[in-house]
Amino acid sequence: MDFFLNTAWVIAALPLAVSALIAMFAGVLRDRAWIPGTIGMLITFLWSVGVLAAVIAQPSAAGDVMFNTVPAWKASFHWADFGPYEMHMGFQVDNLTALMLPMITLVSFAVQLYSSAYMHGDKRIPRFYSALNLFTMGMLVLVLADNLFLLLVAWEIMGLCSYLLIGHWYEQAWPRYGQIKAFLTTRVGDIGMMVGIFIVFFAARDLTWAGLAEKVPALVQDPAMAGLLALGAFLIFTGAIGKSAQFPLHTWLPDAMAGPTPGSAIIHAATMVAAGVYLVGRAFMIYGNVPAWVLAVVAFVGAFTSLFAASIATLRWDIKEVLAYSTISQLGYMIMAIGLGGWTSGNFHLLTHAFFKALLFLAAGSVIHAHHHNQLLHKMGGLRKKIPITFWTWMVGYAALAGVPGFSGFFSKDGLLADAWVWSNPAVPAWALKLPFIMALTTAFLTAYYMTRATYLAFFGQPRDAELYEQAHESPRAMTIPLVILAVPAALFGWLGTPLFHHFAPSADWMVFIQNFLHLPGLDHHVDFSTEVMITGMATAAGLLGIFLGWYMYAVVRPETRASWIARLKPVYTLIRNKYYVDEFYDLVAIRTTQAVSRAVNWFDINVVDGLVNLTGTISVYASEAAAWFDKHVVDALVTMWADIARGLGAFFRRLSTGYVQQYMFTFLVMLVASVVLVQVIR
Amino acid sequence: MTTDLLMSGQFWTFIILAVVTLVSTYRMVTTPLITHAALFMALSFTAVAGIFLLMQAEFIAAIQVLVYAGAITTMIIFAIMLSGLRDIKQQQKERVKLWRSNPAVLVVGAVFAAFMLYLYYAANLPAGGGERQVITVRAIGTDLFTTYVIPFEIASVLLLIAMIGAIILTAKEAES
Amino acid sequence: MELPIYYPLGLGALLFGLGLWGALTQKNAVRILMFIEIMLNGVNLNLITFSRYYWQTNPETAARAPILTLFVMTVAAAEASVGLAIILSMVRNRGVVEVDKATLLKG
Repeated sequence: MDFFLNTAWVIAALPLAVSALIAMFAGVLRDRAWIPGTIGMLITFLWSVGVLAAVIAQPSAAGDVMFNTVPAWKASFHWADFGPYEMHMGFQVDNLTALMLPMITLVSFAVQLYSSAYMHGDKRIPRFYSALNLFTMGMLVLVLADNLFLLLVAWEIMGLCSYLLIGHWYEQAWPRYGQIKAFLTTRVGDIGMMVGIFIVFFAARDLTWAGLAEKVPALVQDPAMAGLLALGAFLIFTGAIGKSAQFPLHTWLPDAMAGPTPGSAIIHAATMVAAGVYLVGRAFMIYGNVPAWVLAVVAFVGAFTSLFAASIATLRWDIKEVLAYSTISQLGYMIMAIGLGGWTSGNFHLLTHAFFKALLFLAAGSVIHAHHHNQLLHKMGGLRKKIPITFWTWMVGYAALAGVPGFSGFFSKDGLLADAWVWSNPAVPAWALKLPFIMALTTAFLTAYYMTRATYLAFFGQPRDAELYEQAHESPRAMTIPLVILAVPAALFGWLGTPLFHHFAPSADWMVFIQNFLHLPGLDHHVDFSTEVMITGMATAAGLLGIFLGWYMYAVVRPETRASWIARLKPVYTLIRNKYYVDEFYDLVAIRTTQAVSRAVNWFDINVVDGLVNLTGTISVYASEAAAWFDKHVVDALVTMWADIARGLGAFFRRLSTGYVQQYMFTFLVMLVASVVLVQVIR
Repeated sequence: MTTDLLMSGQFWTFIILAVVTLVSTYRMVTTPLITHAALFMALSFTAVAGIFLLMQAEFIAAIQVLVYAGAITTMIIFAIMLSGLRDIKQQQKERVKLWRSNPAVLVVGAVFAAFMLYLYYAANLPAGGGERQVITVRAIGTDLFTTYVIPFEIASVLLLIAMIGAIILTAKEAES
Repeated sequence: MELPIYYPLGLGALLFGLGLWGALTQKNAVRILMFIEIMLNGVNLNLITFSRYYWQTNPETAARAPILTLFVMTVAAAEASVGLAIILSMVRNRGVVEVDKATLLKG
């Protein structure tokens, strides 16, 4: 067991090697690029499971999970000196990492297996697989990193791979637009993140998690230092806003759907966007100690984003776009949970969400594949009979996301609602303390609604496009097997969060591990049983209400009636349909303003600066003419005099240059002998 | 000059080889035919190789025979044959007059040689006796590939460049 | 008795002087090249002599004695090949082999 722990670096090294291998032998592999990809990722997954088992076997060593003081395994090397400060680079494995690793590798494995069929016939399969493996490597390094700096490096690697995967079909306009938008929008957050890292380094002189956990509690005793660290923590959070697509930097994620669906599944649903959540959770030793307003900001950004994105998702017609906004919304949940101090429920939701969202994306891909690359919901309908496996796995993901009791999403969502209920934060006025809970509950309702709507439109009712329906076919086995693989954790993973198992095996190693993970010593929100039941009841009710409303709106109400309702709610409908005009706002602020400023500057250039330049030019011309006269009659005469002298000398000495090489050689020899004689004489 | 020296075979061998060297070199200057000059040069090189053997530098002697007496002489003769230099030379049959050639040059050559001899003599070189080591080819090779590996590589690159240069200089002409 | 060091040194000096004389008086470029080789040979003879009398007696330096000579030979070979190539192209282009007819360097 310890063997896996001590060789945990293999988990990061193997995908990198596979990526390089595929890139090098792209011409040989071609359509077969999935073979090294899936095999490598399967080994990596098994290795990750080994690491998880090793960590579970020694839960006591894992210590305080949240503040991460004692990792189960750690290896670092001395990387660089900055004056008196040393910088170390290394990997570490603790409870959170150990849980993340199998999730990432399993999703990546499922996606790569799935892509072998989905991407069949594509022109650039090796490129896709190489980027996919490099991306997985980036995410694995990110969770293995033992310091903020290495995390930033992995973060940017993922940014690059995201760019490559979104723009996989770069011949078309939308992927090109989407890749550039994703890259630039996340870059806005990354700049804040980098400045935040600089501030943290400036304050603590250390970037390793262990070092920060040790130093930050002492540093925040000083109010000035606490303010500085709070600023740093806030700026690092802007990085998470960018990467996890939180409001106001969420706009890139829907456009990231321009890439191939499997790529969207792993990057824009399961793992990369979760990196922001992971970062805030991992750096909780900073967030938990700095002044409380930072966590309040985190909580409200998350809560607002979740509600905001869920409301947009209710009116999307593209199946992938529904899932994209749903992802933003669920990421908002996680961010909110961590901001509320619900470290466990946030990370728990991250894990469950990764499984069921990857499943939903892959199932959506399967639907799109079955439907000849049609992504629009209003052309689908009645597909459940045509593609039964896709339908049933989709239903598992749907149930998990909508919060149907018994599926994974239900438990994690329940946990974070409980955290929202008992929230207390000194920086927030009392009346606002329940706001995140209300927002989260509304989001739960909206989530159930829009997922029911999408499910109904796609799988139930009458086919809306008869021709497409007739041609629909179940996807090949390479696509359905990953769906089934992912459906298992999507359905069952949440049960780990219940106290149920505790009754069966209270002292088993893995139970202790989970208990350590779920009930953190320093931060155990104690929720008594009756409150728990009430919250669960409210969440279930919200979910069921959403499901019912979705079913009612699309299965019972006739389209004409629906249209009349929409007409009555025209302003709201238009606002949401246009995604609250955030893109237009950015267009106005960032692009139009820049253009207007440019035009103004251009006018100024032409009329003022150029005028000055021309004036200077005119003056120069007259001055030059005066100087030219002087030059011609005084300076030139002097110069010519020297030239004449040089020419005379040259005419004299050129006679020495006869062109006979032997004469030169002879002269050289005479000089040599003469100099040796001279040296002898002088000595 | 002691009797000892006059009795030693080493001395007489040296004298014979030195005479062969000097005479053949002198004949290189005076012979009218360039092919003869090249052959005299080969003789001179071979005699010098003999002196190297006398100096117990067997490896260098072998290289001298291979490179100078073999390769360079062959190359020069080939160049003469291929380019028709022989014909050009045979047209101007005039014999190089020893005493008519620029006397200053002879003076300088003689002065130079005499000067070198004087320098050696004045330096009062130490006797340099003692047991002489046998230099094996293995030892030379070891040194060449360890201590002197960088000069060795540079020399190999130099040879490569010379080869390429020679090919370019001649091949370009062959095209036109 | 051993041969005094002045004998081989003197032979080297004479060889060099003869080569010099030839190189300066001859008109034919190929001959000049030959005499340059003779001069280098004289230099090699000197090097070998010194190494034999002073280096070869020391076990540590013995093996290094002939190495400089080897490099001189390498350079000589390179020089001969390039020199001959130049002469060949000169003969082909201008039909002359006499150096005093190639006076492009004349100022």
